[in-house]
Amino acid sequence: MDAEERELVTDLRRGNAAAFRRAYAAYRPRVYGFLLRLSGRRDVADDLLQETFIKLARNAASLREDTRLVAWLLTVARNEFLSYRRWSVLDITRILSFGREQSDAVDEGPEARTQAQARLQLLERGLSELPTASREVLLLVGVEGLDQEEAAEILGLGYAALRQRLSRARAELAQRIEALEKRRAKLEPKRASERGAT
Amino acid sequence: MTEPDDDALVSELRGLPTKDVEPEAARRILHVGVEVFAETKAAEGHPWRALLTRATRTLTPIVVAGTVGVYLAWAVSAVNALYP
Repeated sequence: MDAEERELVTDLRRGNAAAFRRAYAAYRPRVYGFLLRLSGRRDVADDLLQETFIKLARNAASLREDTRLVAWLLTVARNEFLSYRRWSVLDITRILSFGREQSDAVDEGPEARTQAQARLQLLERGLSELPTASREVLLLVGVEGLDQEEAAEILGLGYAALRQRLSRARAELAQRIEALEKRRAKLEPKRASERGAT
Repeated sequence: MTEPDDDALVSELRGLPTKDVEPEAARRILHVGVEVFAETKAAEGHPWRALLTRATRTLTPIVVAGTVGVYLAWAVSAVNALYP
């Protein structure tokens, strides 16, 4: 925890509104990215982001001096997502769109044509297809680059259990990517001939 | 003891682009957050106000659910009375 973060926490505890704005600007993209990749829907990520920062606003005074804000926010964001998922069983719009859902976290467009972009797109797609338990551990350790002990704490796991889950998630992601690459390789000649015909 | 994670695939994930909320939504969320932050701060000096807010927040859904329940019970009994 660096001095800047400690100062931010102190200011939040004191009820300094400028500190809340600073925290929002600094951590919003990380929390939003986490929620978007977890939920796969922009509208849901927007709502959960709001709930997360409302929780920060309500609990700022009771933060501990040594709170790691990013870990605190990601823990709240994850709990909000789990709560949303429990209630979404009753969400009629979600039931109606079942089977034609595509993750909003995956941008598939003509711009993703270079090899590096195609690889990132593949990673994004593979990640979006993983079960939640695997996806969240990869998001925390991989995308967010959190310390494994911190990620274990956020997920409510012991360190050994986290290592195990991470290893399984890696294997699953590698498998998905391989399958996606094979599918893409199979489709490529077809697409090329279609392009040639037009 | 945390082991360093040098797995290539996990490291690759760090290269995924940052996602951010639309500017308009970002402004709206900030506005709501700052408002709640200020309300919470203002309530700190008045514990009764915080208590009242919490009680209202808890009681509102209970009152709504209770009213709906009573109304449904009345509606069912009224229909039963009409068609015995």
